[in-house]
Amino acid sequence: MSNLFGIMDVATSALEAQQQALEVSGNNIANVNTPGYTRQVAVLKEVPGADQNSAVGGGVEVAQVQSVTDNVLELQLNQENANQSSLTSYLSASQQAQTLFNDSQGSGLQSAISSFFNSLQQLSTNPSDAPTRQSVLLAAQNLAQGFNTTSQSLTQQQTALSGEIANDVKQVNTLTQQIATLNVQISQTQSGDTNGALIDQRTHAIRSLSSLVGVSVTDAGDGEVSVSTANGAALVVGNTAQALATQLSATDGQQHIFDQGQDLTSEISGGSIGGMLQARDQTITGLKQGLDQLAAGLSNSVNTQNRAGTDLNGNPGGNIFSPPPAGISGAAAQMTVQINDPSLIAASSDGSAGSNGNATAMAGLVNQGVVNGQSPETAYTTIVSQIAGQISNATAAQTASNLNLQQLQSQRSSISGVNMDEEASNLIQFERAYQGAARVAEVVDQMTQTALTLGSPA
Amino acid sequence: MRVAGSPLDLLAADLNDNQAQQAKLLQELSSGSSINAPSDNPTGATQVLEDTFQKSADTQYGNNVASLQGQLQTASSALSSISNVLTQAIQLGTEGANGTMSDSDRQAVANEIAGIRTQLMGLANTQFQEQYLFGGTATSAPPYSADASGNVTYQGNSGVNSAQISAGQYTPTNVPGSKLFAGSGADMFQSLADLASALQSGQGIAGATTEVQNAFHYVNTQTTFYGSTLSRLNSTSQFLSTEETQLTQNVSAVSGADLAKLSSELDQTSTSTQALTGAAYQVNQMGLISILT
Repeated sequence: MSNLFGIMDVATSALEAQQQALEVSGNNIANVNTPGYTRQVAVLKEVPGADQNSAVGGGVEVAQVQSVTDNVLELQLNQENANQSSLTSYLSASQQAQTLFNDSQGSGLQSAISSFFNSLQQLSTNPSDAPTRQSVLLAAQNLAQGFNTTSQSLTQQQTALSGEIANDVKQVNTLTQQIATLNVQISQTQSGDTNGALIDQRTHAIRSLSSLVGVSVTDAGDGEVSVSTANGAALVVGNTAQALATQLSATDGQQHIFDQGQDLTSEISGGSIGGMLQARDQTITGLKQGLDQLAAGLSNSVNTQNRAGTDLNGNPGGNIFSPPPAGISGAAAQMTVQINDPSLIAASSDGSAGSNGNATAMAGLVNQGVVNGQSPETAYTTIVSQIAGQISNATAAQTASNLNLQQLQSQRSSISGVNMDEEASNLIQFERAYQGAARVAEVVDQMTQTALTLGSPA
Repeated sequence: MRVAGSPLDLLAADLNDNQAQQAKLLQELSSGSSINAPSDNPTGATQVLEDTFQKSADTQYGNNVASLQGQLQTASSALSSISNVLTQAIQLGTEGANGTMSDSDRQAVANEIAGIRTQLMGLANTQFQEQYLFGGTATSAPPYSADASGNVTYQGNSGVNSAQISAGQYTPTNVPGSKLFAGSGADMFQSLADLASALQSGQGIAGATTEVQNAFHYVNTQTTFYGSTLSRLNSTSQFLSTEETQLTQNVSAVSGADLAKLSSELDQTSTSTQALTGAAYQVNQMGLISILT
C-alpha cells in the first residue's frame, strides 16, 4: 500500500530528474556555438516502486547523460580534414613557387632565354662589332642571374617551409600530449555516463591534429584511443605520447621528421605538414631539378659551341659559362658567365673576324635538343606547364574536398549538433514536468496537513 | 532529417565562395587577361609561352632581316655602279679599237681606263657599318689594293657568311670578291689592266675590250645573288610581320578576358550575394526561441 511520503518521494525524484534534464538542455544551449561540441541527452528511466507488490512505480531518474555521436563519421571527418588541410598548405606553397614562373606577369625566364639567343642572332649579322658582342655578354649575365635568383628563391621557399613544418611538428607534440592526458582522464572517469566534455576535448584535439598530419585513430578500450600517422607511425599509445622531432638532413639540406629516431619524412601525408612536404620535396624540388637541367644543358652546349669557334683575337674559343657542377645539382643557382672580355666570344668559324658561322651556330642552339633532347624553349615551357598542371589539379581536388568536408560537417551537425528549436521545446517540456512535480509535492503537503488536523476542533 | 548547426555557417561559406569568385573576376577584368597565373589554364598558359617564345624569335629574325637588307642594298648599289663603270670602259675600248684615234688620244683613253680601274677598286672596297662587303669573311681590311707595279691584288678570302632569317631558314649573306669579280675567262681588274696597256700600245684593243665585256657579263651574272636574296628578304620580312600579328592574336584569343562575359558573371555573383544576405537576415528571425521571448 502506498503512503503520502511515498508520493512525496516520487515527486522529489521527478523534480530532480526534470531539473537534471533541464540542466542538460541548458548545457546544450550554452554550447550551441562551441566548435566540436557534441549534444547530450538525458536518458530518463522509471524507478520501480518501493513496494514490490504495488503496480505503481517509484518515480523517475536520469539513467545516463549520453553524448550523441557517430564514430565512423568522426573518422571520416578526420580524414577529409587532413586532406583539405594538406591541399590548402600545398596550394599556398606551390602558388608562391609559381609566381617565379609567371612570364605573362613579368617574372620567369622566357624573356632572358629569348634575349640571350636573340643577342647571338644579332651578333651573327655583325660578328666583329664590339657593342653587339658586349650585349651578348650582358644577355648571358642576365640569363645566368635569372637562373640564380629563381633557383635561390625556390631554396628560400623550401627553407621557409622547413621552418613552418618544424613549428607544426611542435604543435603535433602538444596535441598528442593533450590526447594522452585526456586518455588517462577519460579511462579514470569512465562509468555509465560518457564524459562528454572530456571526449569532446579529445575529439577536438584529434581533429586539430588531423589538420597538421593525416592520422589514424583506433579504439584501445577503457575509453582510450590510439593515434598513429596515416602510415602507421605511433603518435599516442594509451597514456603515452610519442614526440616527433625535426632535424636537418645531411642528404638534402632539409628539415626531416623523426619518430623514435626513424625518418618518417617521405611517409607522412595529409595535414598541413603533408601538404608542405609535398610542395617542398616534390613540387619545388622538381622545379629546381628542371632549372638545373636547363641551366646545365644551356651552359654545356653554348660552351661546346664557343670552343668550336675562333674568338676576335684569332684564338680558339673557350667557355662562356662556368662549367656546371658534376651531377648537375646546383647548376642553376651557380650559373655564371666566366668571361668579361667580349672579344672572347668565338663568333668566327673560319678564323676571320668577319666570319659569323659559329655565332649563327650558337644562336641556332635555341632550336637544338640540348636539355635531355628538348630545346631550351621546350624545356622551360615544360617546367612551367608542370607546375601549372600540378596547381590546377590540386585546386580542383581542393574544391572537391571543401564540398566533401562541408557535407560531412553538416552530417555531423545533424547527428551531434545542437538544434535550438529542439532544445527550446525540451525546455518547455521539462519545465512543465517540473511544475507538475512541484504541484504534486504541494498537493501531498496539503493532504499531510489535512491528515494532521483530522479530528481537531475547527 | 534532423537539422542542426547554424544555417548561417552554410550561408557564410557560400558568401565566401561568392567573394572569392568576385575577386577572381575583378582580377581578370583589371588585368584584361583570363590567365593571371599559369595554373589558371595550364594548356593555355603553355600555348601563350610557346607563342611568346616564337614571337620574340620572330622579332629578332626581323632585326636580322633588316640588318641584312641594309648590308645587301649597299652591296647591290655598289655593284650597279660597277656595272655602269664597266659599260663606260667597254665604250671607251670600242672607240679606241676603231683605229681613227691618234696616239695621244689613245694615251688619254688609256689613262681614263686606269682611272676607271681605281674607281672600281674603290667600289670593290665598299663598306657597310665599317665592314668591307666584298672580302669574303675578311671584313676588317680592304680586300683590294694595288701593289707597287700597279697590279690589283685580292687580300680577302673565299668565306661566305650565313644568317638565320626565320625559323629553320638560313641565307648566305655575301659573295666573296674573288668569286664576284673573277671567274673562268673573266677577271675584271685584269681585263681593265689589259685594255689600258692595249690602248697604250695600240695593239689588241678589240681583244682586250672583249675581255672587259666578258668580265662585265660575268659580274652581272654574279650580281643576281644580291637581287634575289633581297627579294627573298622582303618576302620574309612580310611573312614575319604577318606571323607576329597572328601570334599576338593567338595570345589574346587564348588569354584575353571576355569583358562582356565577365561583367555578366559579376552581375550574377552580386545578385547571388544579395540573395544570400537576405536569406541570412530571414534565418536570423526564425526559431522557437525568438517566438517564446
